[in-house]
Amino acid sequence: MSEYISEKNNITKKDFIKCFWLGFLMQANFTYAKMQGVGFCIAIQHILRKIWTNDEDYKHALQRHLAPFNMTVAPSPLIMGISIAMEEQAKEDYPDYDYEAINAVKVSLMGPLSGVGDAFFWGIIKLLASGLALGFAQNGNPIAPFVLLAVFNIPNFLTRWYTLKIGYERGQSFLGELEQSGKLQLLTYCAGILGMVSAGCMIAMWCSINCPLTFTVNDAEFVIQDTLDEIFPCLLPLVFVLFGYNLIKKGMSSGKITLILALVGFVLGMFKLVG
Amino acid sequence: MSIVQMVLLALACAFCRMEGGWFGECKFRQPIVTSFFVGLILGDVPNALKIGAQFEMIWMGVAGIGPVAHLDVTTGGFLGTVIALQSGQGFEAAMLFALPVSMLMQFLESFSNSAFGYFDVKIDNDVEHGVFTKIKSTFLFAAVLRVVLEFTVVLVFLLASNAISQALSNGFPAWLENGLGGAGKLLSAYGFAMLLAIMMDKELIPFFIIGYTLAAFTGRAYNMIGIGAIGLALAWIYFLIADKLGGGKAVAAADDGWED
Repeated sequence: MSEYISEKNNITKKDFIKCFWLGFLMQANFTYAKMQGVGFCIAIQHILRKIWTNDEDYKHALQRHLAPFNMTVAPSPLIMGISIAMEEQAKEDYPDYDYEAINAVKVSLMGPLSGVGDAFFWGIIKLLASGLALGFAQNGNPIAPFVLLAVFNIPNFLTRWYTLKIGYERGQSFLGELEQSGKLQLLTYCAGILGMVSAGCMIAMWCSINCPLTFTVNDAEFVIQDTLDEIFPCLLPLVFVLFGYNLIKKGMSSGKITLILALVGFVLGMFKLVG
Repeated sequence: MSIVQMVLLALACAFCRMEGGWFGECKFRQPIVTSFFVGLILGDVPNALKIGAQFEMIWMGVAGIGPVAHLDVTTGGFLGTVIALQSGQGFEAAMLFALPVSMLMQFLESFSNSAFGYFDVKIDNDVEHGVFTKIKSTFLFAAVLRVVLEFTVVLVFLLASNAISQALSNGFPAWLENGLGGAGKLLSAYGFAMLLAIMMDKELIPFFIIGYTLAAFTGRAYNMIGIGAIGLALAWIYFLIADKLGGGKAVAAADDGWED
């Protein structure tokens, strides 16, 4: 296998590996102004220099990629790969290339790609990583953080490397096809299915809210929670999660919701209705 | 807590807080991981992890996306665990301290996100004037400055924490402990509510019901992996059917909650 990924611009596999690692830094100075824009630029800067040997062209290329940029980080190398491919194309067609198209493609891909990325990384992988580690952590088992990091990062690293590769090799056509055929939405939706099944399972398993109140009737102890469990196990977690969900849907700020729930919980807890 | 331990803790906390920037969100920020560091430095890993597990649950749904507000769960969980171990009062005490910290630190984050825009302007100017080599160094300088800022703020919190732990270590009256316990329970429900808010779509409700009842009514006969596998199978089946029916165009309901 040749060390050169792109012979005509002298871009080597090493350059791509550098791009892969620099990509991790994308949010090191996240700002409201450019968001991940500068981070994106430095990840591909060395490759842009190789493509554009003329200072003036290089400057314009840098300015293109210093534009504001923001998306789920894990699949962001896909757009880096696509950008590199487009810059190469731009040089080949020089000077007849619609440079605007480069940023247009970046912006148009940010949204849908973040959609799929969030569905997988926040909805499934993070959930799975936390969920699996929780069981260990609750028993004080020191393996817990390693489980969490491994479960999350193996897909994270693989996604970063392969999206960079696919982005460069298959370019926009790949995502364009996926999006036009509706497969991208379908994939996001299916990730949602798995996410919701996991969320339902996690609420029942990990959100333990009980009613510790007991009565003594004719010397027989009467535990409210036992009765609840007979009718509908894990009912209280569901009730309070849906209560919190409704508050969120009402558009209340998280500070306000935290305060309300903390107060309600405090009062209920004081009277041993919840614990 | 010795001064060496405090410096180590502040370093570890700054490290965990900054992974989102420096290591591309590899989840060192999660309370299960941060509490492990606290445990290592303070010499009680098992108890630190038990506290961390509870923070993990409260903040299960905190994500940097969608309609959900951001909270600095890293610093909050980290310092909360420190307080819990120091005072010997467990999760209730930790939470009392961690909640305001997580909100305060988010203000610091918002402030930094605006203030550090200064460096973006500087980089633009440099490039405009043909200085191309300074982009990375300016960017990294700003990034290091943010770590130092985080480190300093956490160290100040830690210096104050001895006094706080001292005050808490006398213990709570029963009503206060019950009340804090109840508040903690409801806040963990909020964590899961945030998770739902990220993903919820009316059409997905049946799948939520499947996951919930499988876990609730089988008395833990399944674990996460088992139910996750069922979820995967359902998603797979749906994909196959929708794909055969017309390339997924049937899925009209684009889920805006996912958008960043």
